[in-house]
Amino acid sequence: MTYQNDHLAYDWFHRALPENIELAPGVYIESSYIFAAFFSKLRPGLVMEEGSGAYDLSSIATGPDARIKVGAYTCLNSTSLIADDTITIGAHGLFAWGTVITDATIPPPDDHGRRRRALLDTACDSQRRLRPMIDPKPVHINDNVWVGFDSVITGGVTIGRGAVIGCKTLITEDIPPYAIVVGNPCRIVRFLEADDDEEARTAALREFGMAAALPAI
Amino acid sequence: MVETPLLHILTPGVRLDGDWYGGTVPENISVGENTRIDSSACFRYYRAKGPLGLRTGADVTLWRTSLAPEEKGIIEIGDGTWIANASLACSVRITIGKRVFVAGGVTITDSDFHPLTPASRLVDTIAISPVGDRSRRPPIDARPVEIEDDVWIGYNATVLKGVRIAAGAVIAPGAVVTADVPAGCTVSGNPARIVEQRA
Repeated sequence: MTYQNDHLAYDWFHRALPENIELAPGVYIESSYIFAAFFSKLRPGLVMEEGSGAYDLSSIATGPDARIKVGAYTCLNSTSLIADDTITIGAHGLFAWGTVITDATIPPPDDHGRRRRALLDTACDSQRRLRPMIDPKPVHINDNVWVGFDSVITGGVTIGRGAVIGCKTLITEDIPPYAIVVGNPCRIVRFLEADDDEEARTAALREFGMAAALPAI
Repeated sequence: MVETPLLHILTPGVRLDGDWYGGTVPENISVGENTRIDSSACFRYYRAKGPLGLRTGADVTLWRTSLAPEEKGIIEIGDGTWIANASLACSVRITIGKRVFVAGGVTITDSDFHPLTPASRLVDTIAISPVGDRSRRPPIDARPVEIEDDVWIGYNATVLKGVRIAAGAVIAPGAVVTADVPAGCTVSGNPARIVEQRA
């Protein structure tokens, strides 16, 4: 089943979904309003794999060269993805409400010149397709990462497989696999046992009657 | 012309007069005298199936607060407590005392929402996915939250599972409370630390 160039039957917002997105079967999109600021010109600009979903007040806002991938069974619950370059999210991710994942960097406070130029560029575009952000750096979130509510993940960050980010945590540096990270400023409190191997995943899928024939994670 | 009241008397099992949301107040709640609520939208995520999912005292004020007990959850709110624009996500028990003041954007939860170990999270993400089955979610850690009388919780603060906030404590705006707060203390930050101890 494809949603390309289609309206969601249950949608309150009047627009069709963008043409340049690829949604696998069983993907849930709450509303086309999620894509109100989706300006990617790439084909595809967004890939969402089997069983993933963008729920409630999620939003996917991009510039023209943005590429986003959301892995299988990943849940974006009122999460904002803001991309000018690349955001890659693995399978089995959990993203709670209010979480912001952005690959775009706002110019640092002391760099008034660059910030002013970025704001001017934005003001010159009547549709505000450009945002006052510069220096995008790809964000890579590996499989099975859980991010608590109201957290923020900024540009250039890689989050290792199985990591857990506590609520309201600001992540500006790489997080190693299976780390539990909490607080602001954030700190690693401990590491989880890596018990989520391919065998565990196959067993989990079988439990729900699904073949484990999905792309390798 | 009769003006529609902003706050309705909370009554179990009825449609509130002039309610913009158009839902019905659940039957399985117990309400004290003169307890008021702005809309049935507060019960949008109310999933309690037991004999009681919400018990309030008298003179309680509930402004656009998400009252979200899970099937076996129960939320208890004491006399004269004021809650505005907070979310109470409850899978076992959240107890709020008398004359507690809860400001906007506050989240109070007695569970982790998801299991912690990576292998059970694989199962959970499939269970809650559009093609899964929510009734087969793995067990999730939950411990009751208790907030005693005269506590004040500031804007956007968060109270996490298993926490007991003793009488008269103050939670600063934005704080993330992960451990018990002694009586009369002010806590602030993420994670919340004691910043002031009143005698």
